[in-house]
Amino acid sequence: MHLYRGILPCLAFAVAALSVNGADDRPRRVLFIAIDDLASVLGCYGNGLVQTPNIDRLARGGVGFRRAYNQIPLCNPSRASVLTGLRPDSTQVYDLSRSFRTTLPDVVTLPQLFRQRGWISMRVGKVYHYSVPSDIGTDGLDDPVSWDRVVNPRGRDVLDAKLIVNPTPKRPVSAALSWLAADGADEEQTDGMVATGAIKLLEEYRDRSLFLGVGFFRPHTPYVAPRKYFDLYPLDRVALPPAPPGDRDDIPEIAFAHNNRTPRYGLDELTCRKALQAYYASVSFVDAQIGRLLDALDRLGLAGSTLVVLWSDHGYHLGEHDGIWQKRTLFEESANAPLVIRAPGAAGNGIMCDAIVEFVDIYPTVSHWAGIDPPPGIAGRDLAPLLENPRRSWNGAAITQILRPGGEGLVMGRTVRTDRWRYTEWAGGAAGAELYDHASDPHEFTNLASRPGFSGRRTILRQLLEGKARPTIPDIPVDIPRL
Amino acid sequence: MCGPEANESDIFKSMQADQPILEMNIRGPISPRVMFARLRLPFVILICAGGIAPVRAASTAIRARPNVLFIAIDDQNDWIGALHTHPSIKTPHLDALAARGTLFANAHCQAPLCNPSRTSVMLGLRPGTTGIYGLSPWFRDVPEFADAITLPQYFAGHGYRTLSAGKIYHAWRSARPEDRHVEFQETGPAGGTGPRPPKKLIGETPFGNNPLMDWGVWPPDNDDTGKGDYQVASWAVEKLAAMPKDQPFFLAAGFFLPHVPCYATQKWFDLYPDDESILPPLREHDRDDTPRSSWWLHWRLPEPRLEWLREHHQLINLVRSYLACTSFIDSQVGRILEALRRAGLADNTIVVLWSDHGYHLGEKGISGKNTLWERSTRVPLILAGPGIRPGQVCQRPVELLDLYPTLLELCGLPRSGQPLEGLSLAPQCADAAAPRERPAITTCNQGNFSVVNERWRYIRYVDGAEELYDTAKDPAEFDNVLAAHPEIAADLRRWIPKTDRGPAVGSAKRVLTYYDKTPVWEGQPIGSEIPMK
Repeated sequence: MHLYRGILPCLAFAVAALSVNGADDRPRRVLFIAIDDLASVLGCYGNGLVQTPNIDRLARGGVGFRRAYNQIPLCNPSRASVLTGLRPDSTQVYDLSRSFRTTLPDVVTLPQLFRQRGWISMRVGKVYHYSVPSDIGTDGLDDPVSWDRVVNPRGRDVLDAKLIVNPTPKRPVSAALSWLAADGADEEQTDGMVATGAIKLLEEYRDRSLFLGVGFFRPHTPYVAPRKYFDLYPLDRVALPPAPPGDRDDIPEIAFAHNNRTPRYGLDELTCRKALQAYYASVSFVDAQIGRLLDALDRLGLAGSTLVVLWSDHGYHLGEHDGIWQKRTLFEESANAPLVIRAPGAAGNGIMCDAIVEFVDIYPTVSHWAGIDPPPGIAGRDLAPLLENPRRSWNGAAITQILRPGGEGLVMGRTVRTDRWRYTEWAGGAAGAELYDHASDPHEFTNLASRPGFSGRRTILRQLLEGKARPTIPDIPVDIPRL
Repeated sequence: MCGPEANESDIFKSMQADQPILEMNIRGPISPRVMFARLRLPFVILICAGGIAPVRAASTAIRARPNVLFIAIDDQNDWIGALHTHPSIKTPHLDALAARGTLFANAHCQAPLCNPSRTSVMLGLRPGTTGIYGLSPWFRDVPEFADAITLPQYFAGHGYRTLSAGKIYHAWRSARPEDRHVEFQETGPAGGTGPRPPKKLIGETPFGNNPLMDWGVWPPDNDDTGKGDYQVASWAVEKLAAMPKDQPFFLAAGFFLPHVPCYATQKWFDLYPDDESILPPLREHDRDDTPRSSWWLHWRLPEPRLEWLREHHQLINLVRSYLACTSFIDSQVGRILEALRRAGLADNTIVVLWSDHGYHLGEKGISGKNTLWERSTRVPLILAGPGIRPGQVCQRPVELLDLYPTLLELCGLPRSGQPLEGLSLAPQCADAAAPRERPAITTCNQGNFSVVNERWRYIRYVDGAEELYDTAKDPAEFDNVLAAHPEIAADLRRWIPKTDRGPAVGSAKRVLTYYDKTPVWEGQPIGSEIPMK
């Protein structure tokens, strides 16, 4: 195991470095595509309705990780974790306000690492946290030392704010099911401008080694996309996910996001289907912008020397468990998120990977690809062996956690996903526990935690959490309204 | 840029087939041929692609051109004396202006709301072409129209001195003061409400107690001089008296009243009885034969509905206040026209007076605008001055959109590549009976249209629902006769513009959108709830 994680990948990359960097000094680049709130509802992930031809194309040319898990399903802390390669208990970022620099002033982020090695590092759009839609067009909660250059587009989705449909007007559009079948062209939308801006940078810097972070704001609420993408999803084909009667009966109350305890936001089924239509439209719209990026790589002749990494900051609920929407849970839909890596020439390209991997693995995978050693102490594993052979054994376990108000104060929830199981506990189990057997229950309908005969399984799974996510609440100030 | 579309190509075809019309349109002093040739080439003309053409006319020619006095009134419906639409309305100065010019008795706005209507007038484009339907955006904030040449700018580009006071544009309040000279070379007082009572005279109104929803006698001392509209008129009077004679002018004065709050002094109230004789014809359950989608156009608005006005004993008070404000504005128009006469400019000045749209005062169950019925779309429109036959009443359906090409033609300005969607009224100014083959079209948010000819009003809503009124027989539009005259509806339906854009960037306030059978009013989906009465 240790051998695998250390020596073999190094050898593999030594060979790769010789063949790419050693033979000639051609510039290379990392195209690092972050998507906001993208659920794994992609064609290449087996979804038969949602049209994502461009991400599918990327996955066909690379490796799509079907079972990749984020470490904390909330924007700011998840992005902090990915970009530092550290788990939330190390970054101490759990809310939407805190910067990882507060606890780790000298941490070297992934783009910063490239920058230190002489690559040009640039960002277009949302890579670190932004409040959406209110921060669009600003730097958001950026990390300035990560970048040589930043671009902050602001499109008509912001200017059309007054047209956005919000059936729950007391909730801000960011925290509501809200949408707009927009007029105008893709290129007028912020995400269209993000793609346009990124393509310009690819052209301008085509002769330089480049770390280019491209962050799309959709499909985050409000679900704004040009009408033609809505037209892809006639309402009669859009169905909410089914749940068995009484699905919520065996789920501890704390498992539901504190800001969304009411099923379906109290909305009727048709309204929810319209929201789902809009979400799917936003996914296809973002997919089309990714297609523009991929086309530009091909057109500029850069695809063969560019590592493309596509990830979403976390998963997303679309009505599961009788009306859960958005994020902040430890269920599969929230913890799982898309991750696609296209390393030119990797032997595994074209094969979907079912190994359990974590988002903290992104950091070492990207840095090693570039022949750069990651800083000591980062949490993840280099995924290079899986890029070469996506079907090899991996023995992964993915840890996800979330901090939320509950009981008298705060409650930490943590969960581990193995090949077969998901085990979740709240306040170390004191506020509730869940155990789901994915071999027989992929939708996590039946909580086995308190059933007889599973205590041994719980003990084994709990051990996987130790050292990765603490059961206790952190000893730092927390911005509770922004958890 | 979406220019005039199939609709106008059809017109061109019909004009080719209809020789007199074609002749009529090419005989003017300028070259309408340019316009009609352009209509054969939809979409190719870009707004202001090359800026304003250089002025090469000799100064003598410029001096010979008539001046333009451009008077806009806000929310003034068709209740003016010369139109014989109200039993007791008193507008002697407007009536005198009509007598010395041509009164267009079948004139309609292009949008029943201030910002889109005025944008249409000043750009010469339909709302469906600009996508401007709501109280926002100001068209300069839409990239496509940031450099569009408006009517006064066109005159400025042809040697006119341009001046403005009061409300001409709805939204240029959002323009920086230092940018105002871009619209008019010189600007005067902004006008507006003037003195306001310390608290609302009528008490709280529904939907957030909007401070504008008020009316009555104010100020109590019978002094009109503090009113914004009085100051606008005074500014115009001063400017006309001191107007340099070596340059033609385009002077715009925009009055705010009778827009709410309808405050007037007592003397104007004294012109009208305080009883039911001043009320318009109202029929109970008048909305029973209108589709539900007719409610969507004014779904949630601060203007009180008829039921509220009656319950709170405000109907007569509102109508009387509105009439009083109309008569006050009439007096201010009179001051400006008198100044024009005294300055010796009347014979060489084209006076155009218009209102941005109509106003309901209980009809169809509501007060306010934002509908596609006669009460909202019909406006007073008077043209007087050189080249305009006095004493005429024109019954042809005409559009405020026509003002841009009309004023260019009447003033002898050349047509450049401006994509104007209106048709010059110069033929009707010469002969009120001159034919006009096109009906008047009003747009109220994307997909909702009315089409009016000399007898009928056809309405189609965004969900496909329709109405038809025999306005000649039924001026109050009580009876929807769609079922009895499907052939009339079919004939008028074909005039619905093909260009029907979605809301422009930054659209807000009174915007209805519709996707997948769901109407959305200002971001709130409209379900099956009962319309607010």
